[in-house]
This record gives sequence, structure tokens and C-alpha cells, in this order.
Amino acid sequence: MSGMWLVIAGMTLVTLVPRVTPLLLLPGKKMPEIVGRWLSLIAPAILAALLSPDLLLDRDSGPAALNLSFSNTYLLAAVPAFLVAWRTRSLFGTVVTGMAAAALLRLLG
Amino acid sequence: MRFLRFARPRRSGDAGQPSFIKLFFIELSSVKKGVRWALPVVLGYAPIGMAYGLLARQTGLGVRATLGLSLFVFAGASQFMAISMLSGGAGAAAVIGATFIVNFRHVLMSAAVAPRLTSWRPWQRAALGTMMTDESFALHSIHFARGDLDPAAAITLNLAAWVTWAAAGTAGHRLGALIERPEAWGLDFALPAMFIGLLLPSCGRRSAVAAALCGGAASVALCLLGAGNQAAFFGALAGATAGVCVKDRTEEAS
Repeated sequence: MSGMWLVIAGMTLVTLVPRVTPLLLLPGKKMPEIVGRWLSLIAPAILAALLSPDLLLDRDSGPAALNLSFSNTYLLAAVPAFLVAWRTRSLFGTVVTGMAAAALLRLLG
Repeated sequence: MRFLRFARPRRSGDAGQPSFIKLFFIELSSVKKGVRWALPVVLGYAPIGMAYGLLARQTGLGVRATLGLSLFVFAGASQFMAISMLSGGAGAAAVIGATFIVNFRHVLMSAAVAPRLTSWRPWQRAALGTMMTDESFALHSIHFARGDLDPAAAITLNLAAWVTWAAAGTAGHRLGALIERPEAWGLDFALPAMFIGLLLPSCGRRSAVAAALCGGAASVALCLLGAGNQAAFFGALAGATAGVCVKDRTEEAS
């Protein structure tokens, strides 16, 4: 059991350092305007990078493969979720719509 | 510096709200705002946390280690990865190394919010970073970009997400078997749905749209090449770099 706590301690350390270091060191530093612009684009870039494999790839084990067919429940459920996010800008509404759409698709499929 | 302001009469400028409602030194209105911001994340984290707890139990992890991972590491993808690696017999060094790779993207998120927080105290920035996840980062960037820098509200949002994540993991470990097929309820779609709901409000400028499109494409390509663990980090690098090359119209530059 002590081995598990060693793993947890190590995981905590390697997660905490990247999380905290820039926030402690960067503010107050002068940086070129283009770096600031680049940093302001991290949010959309990283969210899309996290989301797109979920929607476009098969999630079964084995090598990743594109799935753009109607058998891809996540891709279909994403359509109403995108519409709600676009029209309402409501995160709550988007999450509820997405989960309801996924459940409905499984009920019908 | 609203987080640690002692009770005293407000300046005449912000007379809209009563000044006497304080929770210790923290303004209650900030806490309420943070909780309100956190509600969609709470809704999303609850099912994912339950799924994590259930899977941890199935792989033979005790409830204390399951909770420990959620409390100290607090990074969903790496926790799922760790329990599956451990159940496959991986050693401590391999698990910790893989965690570093998967979670290194946090350095980008931490750096992205940092330039706006020059008015915060170092401990407030450390507190924000310690508990920052993909979802809370996305919300913070939206709030900071529109000038809402309230530290108490931001840290309350993080705390609410953290408590939800830990509680849901424990609940999943204890009684997860009650939900036999979480997919039937669409609960597995909570994470992609959160990303969708956070992505669109982040795409207000042409450069941001370009960053999202290129980041998404690069990430999928990396997954197809078998580099799934590095996909988010390098996808974000590629996306932001592509976005910088796209000129915004003057009225939408921020």
C-alpha cells in the first residue's frame, strides 16, 4: 500500500509543478506582444485539441481510427450540443443537451 | 484585492450591494459568483468522477487511494490512465512518467492566465494553479478576458470543482455498481459536452477560430499517429501558433 502512496506523491509532484510554476514566475515579466497574443490563443487551441479526438476517433481499444459515420454516437450527440452552445452560450445547457442527446441516441440505436 | 479585504465601508463607487455580508474576510457575493460559475462543471464532473471511482474499484484500488488520487492529483485523464496502467502491472516510474507527459499541458494553461494576474498575490496565483483543470482554466480565461479578476470567485470555482471531483470518485467507488450502464444515461458524454460548451465562447475572434481548427486537427493527427498522450499539448502548441498568424479584424482584437 505504501507503494501506491509513492505513486500518488510522484503523480502529484509532476502535475503540480507545471500547474503552478508559470503562474508564480510570469506575472510582472515583460513579454513581447506576440507572446501575449499566442498565450491568449491557448484556450481555444487546447480545448479543441482535447475535444476533437473524442468526437472524431473510435474510442475502442487498439489503434486510433477516424469514424465519421452515423455509428459514431459522440459525433451525432455533438451536433445539438454545438447548436445550444452557439445559440445560448450556456455551459449548463450545453452539458445537459449533450448528455440527453447521447442517451437518446443510445435508446434509439 | 478583494480576497483579503477587511470589513470596512465600501467606496461610494460600488454602493450597489450591501458591504456587511462577509464570510470571514471573503465577500459572500464573490463566493456565490464562484459557485454559480462552477455549477455546470459540477454537473459534468459528477458522472465522470463516479465512473473513475467505479473503474478504480474494479481494478482493485482501495477507496483511500482512489480518493487520494482525486484530492492530490486532481487531473481526470491521468487518473484514468494511472489506474489502467497499475492494473496492467506497470511500475511506479512508468506511471509517474506517463502522468508528467499527459499533464504537461497544464504549463500552457498556467502560462496563458498568468499575464492577466499581476494584481493577485503570489499565494492566490499558487492556489489558482494548484487546482486548475482543463474546464476551470477555460472558464477562468473567459472571465479574465472580460476583466473579471475576482480572486475569491475564481478560487471558489476551483474549490467547488475539486470537492465535486473527490466526492464523486468516492461515491463511485462505494456505490457505483448502482448505475449499471452509465452510457445509457449519456453520462459518458459529460466531458465532450463540457469541452463544446467551453470552446465556443472562447472562439470570439478569427485568430481563435483558426487556433481551434488547427489545434483540433493537429491533435487528431497525433492520435492517429499513435501519440495520443502528447496530442493535447502539441495540438495546443500548433493551434496557438497557427492562430497568431491570422490577423483579427480591428474591432474584435482584445
